Amino acid sequence: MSALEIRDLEVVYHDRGRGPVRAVAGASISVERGQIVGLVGESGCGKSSLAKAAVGLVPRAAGEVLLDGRPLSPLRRKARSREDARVQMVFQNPFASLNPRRTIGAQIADGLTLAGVPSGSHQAQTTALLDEVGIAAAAVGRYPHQFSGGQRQRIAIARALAANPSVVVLDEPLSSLDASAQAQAANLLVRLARDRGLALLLISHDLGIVNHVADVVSVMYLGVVVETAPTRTLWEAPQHPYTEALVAAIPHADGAGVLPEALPGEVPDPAQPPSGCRFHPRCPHVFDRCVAEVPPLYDLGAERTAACFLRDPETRPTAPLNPRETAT
Amino acid sequence: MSTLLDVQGLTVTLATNSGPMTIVDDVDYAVEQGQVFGVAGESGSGKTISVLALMQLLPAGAQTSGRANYGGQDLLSLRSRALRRVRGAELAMVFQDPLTSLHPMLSIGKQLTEHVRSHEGASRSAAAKRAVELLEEVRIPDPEHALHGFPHQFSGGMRQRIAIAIALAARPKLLIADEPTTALDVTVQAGILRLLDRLRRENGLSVILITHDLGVMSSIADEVAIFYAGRIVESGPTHDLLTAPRHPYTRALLDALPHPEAAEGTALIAIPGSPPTPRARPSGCAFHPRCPYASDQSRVEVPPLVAVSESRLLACHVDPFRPA
Ligand SMILES: Nc1ncnc2c1ncn2[C@@H]1O[C@H](COP(=O)(O)OP(=O)(O)OP(=O)(O)O)[C@@H](O)[C@H]1O
Ligand SMILES: Nc1ncnc2c1ncn2[C@@H]1O[C@H](COP(=O)(O)OP(=O)(O)OP(=O)(O)O)[C@@H](O)[C@H]1O
Ligand SMILES: [Mg+2]
Ligand SMILES: [Mg+2]
Repeated sequence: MSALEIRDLEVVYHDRGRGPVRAVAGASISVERGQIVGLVGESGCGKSSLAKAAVGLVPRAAGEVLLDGRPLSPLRRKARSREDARVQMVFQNPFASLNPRRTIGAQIADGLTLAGVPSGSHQAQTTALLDEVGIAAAAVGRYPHQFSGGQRQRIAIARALAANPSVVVLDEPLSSLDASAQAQAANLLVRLARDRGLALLLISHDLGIVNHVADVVSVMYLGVVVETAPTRTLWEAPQHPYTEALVAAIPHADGAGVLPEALPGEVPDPAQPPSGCRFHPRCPHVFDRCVAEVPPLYDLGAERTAACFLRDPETRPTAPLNPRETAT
Repeated sequence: MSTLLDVQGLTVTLATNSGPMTIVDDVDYAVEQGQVFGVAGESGSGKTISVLALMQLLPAGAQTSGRANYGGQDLLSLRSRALRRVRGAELAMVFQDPLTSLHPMLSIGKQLTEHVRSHEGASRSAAAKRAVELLEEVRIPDPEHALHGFPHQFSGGMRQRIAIAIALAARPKLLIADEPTTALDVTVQAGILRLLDRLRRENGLSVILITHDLGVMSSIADEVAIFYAGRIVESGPTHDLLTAPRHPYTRALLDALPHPEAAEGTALIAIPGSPPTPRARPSGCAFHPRCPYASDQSRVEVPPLVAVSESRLLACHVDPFRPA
């Protein structure tokens, strides 16, 4: 049983003056205990919406979210029970995770209380948590605005961990960190998964870090998951043209001074998604079928799936997709 | 090339409940016209505070000293009228937290056209047209409709791009961009970098680009300065600095990057020890407690930032990576 299972999730926003915006249009992702699943995709494709629905902060229009096989109860921000604390979220904007009017020590203590830690050991545990994320314990009496962007991100991680969750959804938790702090935080995430058995859903635009820490990666495009694969194989041989474009646009710190390629074409609007394959207007391999039909997620073996007609086993050429698949 | 901004001896002290704290300590740098000047370094080292000082946007009680020469005036001592004029029309800033750039209760259109109109005196319809163009430039889908939206209706990366559009609205000469692409995926990021590159080539825009992403730095910055504990420890042309770092901190930073070919299960190499807090800066070179090359001199004497070649500056007594 997966620690977190998201099945056919849909999130719809109703904007005045505009039709419904289906920000998440049927996405499935599961995260096992001790596993890190990376979620990547274009800015605005619905990652944060999916994350918030996964922890019950935005309503689901369709689909299910299961924690250890049990359906998630709708969360009210105020009255979070110990049961609800099983899943914690670190928000994309660290200000949203932290209350500006309370010291960071008090906020971490809230999480500890939620997890049933007796107040006598709050101080020691707070120190240990801050230490784990690389913040000096002397900082407990300070307020969020007195920290730099990167420091706030780490405090938000410490606060989420204080509640002793079994699943943590992290929305861009490493984006304001220097390479060393990022390495430290990434190593921390790996330890949390391996040693504490936490299930982590890691949303990040930093593909280098995702490549390094995630066991499995799902790629989203305009509200749907277009490809899922074990991390290594995804990077070595992307099976969806959007994934291919993503991998090609990673800038390298090699001093070469080369500007990476942007994706050509119009940026899609979730209020008016293209017909057929949602990626077709920007796809270099587009053909008739892509315009007319929605590609299903094809099972490619070796724990890979991709939603692209080029991967249709009925029509695709018999040549192997990549060397790894033939090896298994 | 001519120098657009010349910062000398910039020092910033913030007021805190336990007394004043020096956050930025004697920083010098120059930005040329049409140049992308990159700033990277330790989280908490004062990068944001140092640029907020240029804009006079520091929290109350802050003390600034030094000079920031911009077109014959000192940005640090401008009074409100001159300051407003420069800040709106010539200098623009994209804040690290995009919500700081955006007013939560005003529509995107209002925020964009306000800028266009106050600086260009454009008519309402001309301003609206320019607003749509700006949103197209930063690749917001359905820009006409987006003008009626409010910040909370956009994703993190869309807000960041809207903040960039607002900053570019008045066609500034110097753009200060604090982590402008952290919330963007790599393909959208590539689009923004290409936009900045085009504005720099076509309009001579200068950019101070603060980023932790050394890949981004590599692709667009001409020069890079590396911050540690409130000071610049090394600077030079991007290619030279990234391929042959001279300061042990810069080298450690590059070593911490993930390598795509690393064996599965290897941990990343974080710098040992903790980053210094402004309250407890180590004596001498602030990096010495974490530096394997530190000498006795490093422990007691602050190393000055000095030229070690025609184009490079270094603040290290030991200079262990000096080319043979
Ligand atoms: N309002 C404030 N009051 C007190 N200290 C502050 C305040 N704002 C920032 N600081 C401290 O000043 C130092 C520098 O902060 P700054 O935001 O400039 O760092 P930075 O280099 O931009 O870091 P990051 O890369 O994480 O954004 C940090 O140690 C921070 O804790
Ligand atoms: N409260 C809201 N009301 C209306 N539309 C919204 C709202 N929140 C998000 N959206 C829309 O839903 C879509 C998905 O947004 P979401 O924040 O989930 O994207 P994301 O993948 O997290 O992007 P990013 O990488 O930029 O953070 C976007 O088109 C956004 O404009
Ligand atoms: Mg998001
Ligand atoms: Mg900053």
